[in-house]
Amino acid sequence: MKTDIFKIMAIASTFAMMLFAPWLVADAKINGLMGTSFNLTARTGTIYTGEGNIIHVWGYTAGPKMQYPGPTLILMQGMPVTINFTNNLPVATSIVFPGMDVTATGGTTGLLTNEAAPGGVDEVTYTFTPTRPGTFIYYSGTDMDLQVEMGLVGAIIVRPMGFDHMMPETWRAYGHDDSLYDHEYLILETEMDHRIHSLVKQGKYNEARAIDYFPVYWFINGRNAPDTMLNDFHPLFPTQPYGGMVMMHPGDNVLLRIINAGRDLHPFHTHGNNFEIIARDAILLESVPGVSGADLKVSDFTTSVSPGGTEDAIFHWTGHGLGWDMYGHSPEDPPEMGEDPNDHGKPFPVIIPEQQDLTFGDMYSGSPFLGVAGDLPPGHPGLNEAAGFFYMWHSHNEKEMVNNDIFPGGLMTMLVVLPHSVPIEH
Amino acid sequence: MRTKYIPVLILLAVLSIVAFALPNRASGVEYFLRADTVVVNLPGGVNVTMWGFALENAFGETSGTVICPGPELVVPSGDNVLTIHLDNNLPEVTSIVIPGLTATMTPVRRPDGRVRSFTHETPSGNTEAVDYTWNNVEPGTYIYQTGTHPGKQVQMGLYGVVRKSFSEDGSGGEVYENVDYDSQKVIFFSEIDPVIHEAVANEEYGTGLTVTSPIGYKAKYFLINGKVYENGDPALPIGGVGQTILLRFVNAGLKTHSPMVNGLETLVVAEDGKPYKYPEKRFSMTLPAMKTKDVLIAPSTAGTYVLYDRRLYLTNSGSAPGGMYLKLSVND
Ligand SMILES: [Cu+2]
Repeated sequence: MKTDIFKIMAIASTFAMMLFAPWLVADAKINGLMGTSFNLTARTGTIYTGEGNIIHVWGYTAGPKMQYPGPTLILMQGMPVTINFTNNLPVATSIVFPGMDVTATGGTTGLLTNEAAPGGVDEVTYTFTPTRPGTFIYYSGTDMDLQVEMGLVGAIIVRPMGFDHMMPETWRAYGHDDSLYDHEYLILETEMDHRIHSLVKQGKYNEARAIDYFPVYWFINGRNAPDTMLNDFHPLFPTQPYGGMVMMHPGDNVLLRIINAGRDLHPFHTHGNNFEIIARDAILLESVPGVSGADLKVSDFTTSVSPGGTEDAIFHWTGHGLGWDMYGHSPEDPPEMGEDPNDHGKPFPVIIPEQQDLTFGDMYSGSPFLGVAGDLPPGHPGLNEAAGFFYMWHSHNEKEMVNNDIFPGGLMTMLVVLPHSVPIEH
Repeated sequence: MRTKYIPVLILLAVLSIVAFALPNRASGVEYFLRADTVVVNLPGGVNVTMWGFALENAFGETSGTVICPGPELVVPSGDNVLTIHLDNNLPEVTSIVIPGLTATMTPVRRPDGRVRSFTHETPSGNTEAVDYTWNNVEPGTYIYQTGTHPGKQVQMGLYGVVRKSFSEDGSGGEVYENVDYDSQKVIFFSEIDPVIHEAVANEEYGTGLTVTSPIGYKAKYFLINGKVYENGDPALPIGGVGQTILLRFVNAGLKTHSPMVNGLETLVVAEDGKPYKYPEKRFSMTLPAMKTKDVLIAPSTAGTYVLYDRRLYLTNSGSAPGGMYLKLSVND
């Protein structure tokens, strides 16, 4: 079955590069660094944009190479955390952790927090104990208008008490069952004005910040579409380790951890269904804190997370309301797992034309039915061998769906609904 | 028979005098504001002509200082009625509106039918006060602003805050029913695009002139409480450890701002003067143009906390640090 996923992951066939990436591995978990002690360094490096540009970026990393965004830190509620921070940038920098009660030692005192000097000559230690679970953010607390733009941002996930990666029945974002999920995905939004990055590369910091800000790149997890649809740690993106492809089966609950690490509002929009916002800034939306569950959750199809803030949303999809049986069942056939009974056995509403009367998109499986791969003409790339359903998720500020004026790109990815016969690996 | 009615008539007369007097007593709080020009000094030797308000003791006086944002207009808890007596020393007509508070609006139109002012105008150089009255001021935080040619006059600086608490007790009280605070501060966000101000000052703003409208608006200065941040700025004392501190966030700029307080989380209890049924604990928030939000903070440690705009408007015409940083000091 894994080969199916390889093909599925090549879904962005409208983007030719995908055709040359058959080694993809399906990966439906949030990758990051787990633990209680981290050594982070701010470094310079380059990233690739969706249309092939190269941008000079500053980023946090736990390794020898800059990465964008910084490592996702996966923490446990109640477990004290120590972050030893050094700085290989040409200017002083720091880290702030909104929502955390941080003690900073070492380095020099800055406006917001302790800063590490350039050139790796000193070390700042940040310690805090995450007292509540949820989705958080970290970013530079120094010269923020320049340094956040340059890429010094990252995500923090705090697991609730009782969470065990080996036991799916414990997969909650918060303490309450209203936050149970089958798969979780990170959607970390940023934007960039590449002119600033060019000037910074030349050391012209003051010129860089004096520019009339006009971003032309928009990112999910540090990548532009179509690169968002490639898997984590893809070799084409050595400094952009995190993908943004969302995969689920009908009936699954998908947890979206949406972070606005940029400065502008990015109205994030899902096709396929509404989602339910269950938390903002790592606070469950509940009328009686700690008791009522997410009874104040909000159903919506677009959400603009506050800059520097986070939201958690649950996306659920069953095909409800389609009006036809998405498996192509007859009424007497047994239902599939998670199938909406309302449409069971209902016929497809149009007569499917003969092959010679169709044009075939690269993503067409040969049939309109989920998990039913039909006949395809010779020469068709067959990129949707598992016969999944694809929905575009993107910034509803449509301007943000380009890479420096080239469509499609930007803050966009795909949801693929896969038949239950195709496993989604965690 | 008629004589029998004389006491009744006297009684009626007395009652009518009382009735006349009552609106005066219930007229609650009144302020004399003078709209006038002021030159604001910004870092780098930049002087910007702005329009602001001065608080005066009576109509026609000019002893008050013209400031921008204008004076805080406090409506005491017991009062429902706010009256502003306006003296207009600007070169053009103006007016005052308060989004979120009801008033009888009498819009003024141009000859071509387009609205020029949302309500009755105060002519330039008026010889007697023009009154603006709100009869039903609910507790909350509001913005008073010009209701005339707002695309120009709001940017020029004609705005300020109106605040009322549900109850008052020394420096504290309830901002809304059962929402307690020990001390309070207004945190007022605004912006300046010097190009527009220079054009207005030189009478080069308008149809066919150098600047025709705010369409090319590019703010270069980002202010909190009428000031851009500069290195070495003193911290604003907001209260002490163990206190619940009310911050009334107000945005009279044209852009959305995102106030965050480093090291603290906020409890958002209201927006636009309307209390939330379920207050939201947040570390981020958006404050769109002309929005007010009331938030509570409760620092457990004394020290300086830096409030900043996470939209990163943190420069003064491109030089850093600047813009929307504000140090807040919390004492023991
Ligand atoms: Cu769309």
